[in-house]
Amino acid sequence: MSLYRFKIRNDFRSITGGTVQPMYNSGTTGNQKFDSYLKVVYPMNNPFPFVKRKYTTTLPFTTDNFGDFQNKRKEIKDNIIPSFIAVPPPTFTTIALDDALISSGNTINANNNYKNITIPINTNFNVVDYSEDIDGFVDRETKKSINKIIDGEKIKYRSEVYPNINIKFRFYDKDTNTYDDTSLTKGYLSAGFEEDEINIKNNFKKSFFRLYFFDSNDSRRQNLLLTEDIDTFDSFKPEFKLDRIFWFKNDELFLETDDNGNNLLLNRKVYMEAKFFNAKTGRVNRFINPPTTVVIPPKINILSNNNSWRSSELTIINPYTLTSNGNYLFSVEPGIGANTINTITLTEYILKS
Amino acid sequence: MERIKQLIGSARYKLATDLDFNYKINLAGNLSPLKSNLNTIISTISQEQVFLDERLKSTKYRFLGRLNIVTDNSVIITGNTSGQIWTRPNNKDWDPLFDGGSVSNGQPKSPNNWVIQLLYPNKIDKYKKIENYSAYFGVSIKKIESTNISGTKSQLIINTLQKNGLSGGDFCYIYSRDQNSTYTGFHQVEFLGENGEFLDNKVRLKTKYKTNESNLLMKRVANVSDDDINFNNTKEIIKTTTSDITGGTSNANYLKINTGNLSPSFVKKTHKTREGDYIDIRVNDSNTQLNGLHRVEHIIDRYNFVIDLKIGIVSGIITDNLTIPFRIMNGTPSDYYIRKFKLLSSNDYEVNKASNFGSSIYPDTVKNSLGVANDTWLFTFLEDINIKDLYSHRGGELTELYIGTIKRAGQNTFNWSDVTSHWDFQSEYADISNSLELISKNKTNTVGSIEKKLAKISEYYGDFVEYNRRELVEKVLSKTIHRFTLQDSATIENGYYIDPFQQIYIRKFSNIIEVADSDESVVGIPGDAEKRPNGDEIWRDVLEPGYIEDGNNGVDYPFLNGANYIYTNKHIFIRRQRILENIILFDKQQTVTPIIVC
Repeated sequence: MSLYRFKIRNDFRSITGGTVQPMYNSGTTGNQKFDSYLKVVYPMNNPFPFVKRKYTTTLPFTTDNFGDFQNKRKEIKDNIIPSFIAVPPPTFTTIALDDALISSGNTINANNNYKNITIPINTNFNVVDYSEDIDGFVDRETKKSINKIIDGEKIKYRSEVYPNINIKFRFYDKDTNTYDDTSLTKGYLSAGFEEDEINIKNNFKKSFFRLYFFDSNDSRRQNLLLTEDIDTFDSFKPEFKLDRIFWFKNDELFLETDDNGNNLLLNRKVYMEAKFFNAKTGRVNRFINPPTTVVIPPKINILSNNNSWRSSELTIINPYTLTSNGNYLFSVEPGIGANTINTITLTEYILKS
Repeated sequence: MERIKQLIGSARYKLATDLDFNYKINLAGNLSPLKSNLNTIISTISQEQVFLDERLKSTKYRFLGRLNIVTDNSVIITGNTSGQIWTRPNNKDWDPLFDGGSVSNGQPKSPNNWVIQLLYPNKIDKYKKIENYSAYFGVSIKKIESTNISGTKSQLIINTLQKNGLSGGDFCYIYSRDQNSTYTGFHQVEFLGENGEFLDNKVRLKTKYKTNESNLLMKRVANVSDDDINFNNTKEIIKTTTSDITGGTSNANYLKINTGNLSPSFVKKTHKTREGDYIDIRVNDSNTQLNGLHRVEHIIDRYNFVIDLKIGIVSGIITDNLTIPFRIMNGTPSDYYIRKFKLLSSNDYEVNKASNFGSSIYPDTVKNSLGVANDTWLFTFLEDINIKDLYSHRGGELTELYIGTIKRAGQNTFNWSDVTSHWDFQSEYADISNSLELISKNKTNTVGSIEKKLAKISEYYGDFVEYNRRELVEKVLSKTIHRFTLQDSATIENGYYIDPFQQIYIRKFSNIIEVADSDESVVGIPGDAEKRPNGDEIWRDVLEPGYIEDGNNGVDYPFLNGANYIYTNKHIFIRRQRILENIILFDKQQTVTPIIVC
């Protein structure tokens, strides 16, 4: 709202008589008041940075004092304006105005030099035609401020290979400088445990694997989605059964449709890494997913050329696909790293230059 | 404020006059279409209000809970060549887990032994017979007795087949469709039960016992007047004809009543009934099938109207040229009908064995010979139940759902017979001959069929209820049970039964009855509103979730993820039809060391 309109609205309060007058009215019924009939506005440069200012004053003049007015103008032009710039605010005096009243119906006399006649067209009504639009607008704008409902319900997705897939961990054996074989012959021994510690000593029983599920294989932008812990207790080899993942029941990806409203049947990919928390040594071993043919720690340039070895790729199958037929299933993406349809083999990550 | 510098004329050019004829007229309008809506826009969005709004709009329900199976396993089958074999079902024979479970079978798909289903009441069946009479004739009286309280005053006691739904001081109407009973008329309840014992199917009336009669029926009546009781101001029926609800002949489910004629002989007797009135017919001849309290469903003209009475004869004159007395009642008798439950869910749920701390403290059947099976499972419906576009059996908003635990027949490993549906009062004599419908059919070497498995199509007989159109309250008088026995020795003695349906209120009706006068226009009257004879519409509002009326009436379920979560702790009590031996929970030989308290 412009300042001008704001003024009109404020002044509107002072109108009496219950009807909207076409002109500014101080309350004297029948007369229109002109409180200023010649305004001389002196724009000034702002003497203070960051504050915009302009000084306004109104100089009275009549035919009697016109000469004074001219002098005043000259004075202002020659002296005051420059001095304003240096020393605000203005120091010259102004003469208070008398209100000029014109009875309604009279012709405005140009001799009186009434310069500004403001006719506010003040219409106050409700736009019925647009009211619904406005309400809709209000609703829409309100909704924008409210977070939509996100269904966080998680349920069990079973492994598509029934009853489970196997997940194996190959440790690095320092003595032979090789990884364990796929039968996990050395098993936990490579991790630094003794035979008589396995499933007996607390340093074994309190060790555990943790699976990390990410939404991307790109370490720069991936987000951790969930983790799962696997207890070592009661296992003689680092090999476990993975038969379920808890995932969102109504993953929005599963509900995505094309322009015709047909479900696109997109599957969710998740990327799994693992770490072993060794309670004996206090070390944390990271596991990645190179092929099982990799028996010695690969060099860093090989790793960098095989980005997919970084993690094991899993697919959470869209329950609306024909194959899953409403069942909630997940599968291993075979051929990536050591992945097969029913086995994930993860290998300890050792950095070799 | 505008930056305008105005100069007098002589300042602009020399010869100019100082009179300025330039008038500036500023036209300023302050039309702001949003003005009246500013308050709406500038409003604080309350988090609680958002939550309440979302919950109110939500029609999604998620069910989960515990399933506790408690039974008496002492059923015995007798054996083969080696003589008597004492075989009992063990806990595994009740196990509700899904089958599959081996590599060859693949994913567990089909529920074993039990199916958990979600249902809602969607239909009324008033003509289905309960024992001898259609449901809408009311509660059957099993027998009447006399009792002598305080000396010789012999009073009438009625034993009803179903629960009677009566309270102390209530009026009930007794009649017979088979004879003109001496008890026909209104009776006031004096005492519920007998000898201080509360029984919901036995009441003592203030009426004097006269003679023993059978084939009696009973209806509860609200707001009975003295004229009702004394059968005053009667009118006469000249002719009755079977008809449809508008008096036509498309079916014969109703009865057209004629009280007067213009021709051939002018009989100036208008009936003066209104739609929604109830009439009390007490025949004075052998047309006893007309007896009872009947609702006026349609007014044809001032001499003819249609009542809710199905005689069972297709399109025909039932009585003619008789003068059967009837009276337009002041009171409102209850309606009686059977509710049918429609299946909402498929078998999309998971069951898991509860951990030990969640199990019952009672011992495992396999380990003792006492025959008590107990175990606990957890179930979670993966399927969301959406009640959008679903209406109750009365055409209103859905306020209740049912969790059904349906027993499957078949061999797994115990060979159970067909599972059939019956009324609860039949539990001691329920067998295949008096069943309402088949629930599961026996199959050899596998679990039995699931007869009701089509979501939004299959229906069960749910319960028998009373509904009063003045009070707008529905009371369950009898529930269905599911019964099964041993396939090889299908006796009632070996029979079991369960109460399959558990009610869950998803919303509650208000305690207050709303009234819309016939002469006022009211928007938003629900579909289950009743139209009174005077034209008023009455109904009970359904309370918003989270709003508790009068301290106890309302629901407040957890609301999360845009869905209402309903947790139930469901017990399935598998009862024996007949108890043949005393139930012994502990071996008599067992000695219990007393706890010594110092």
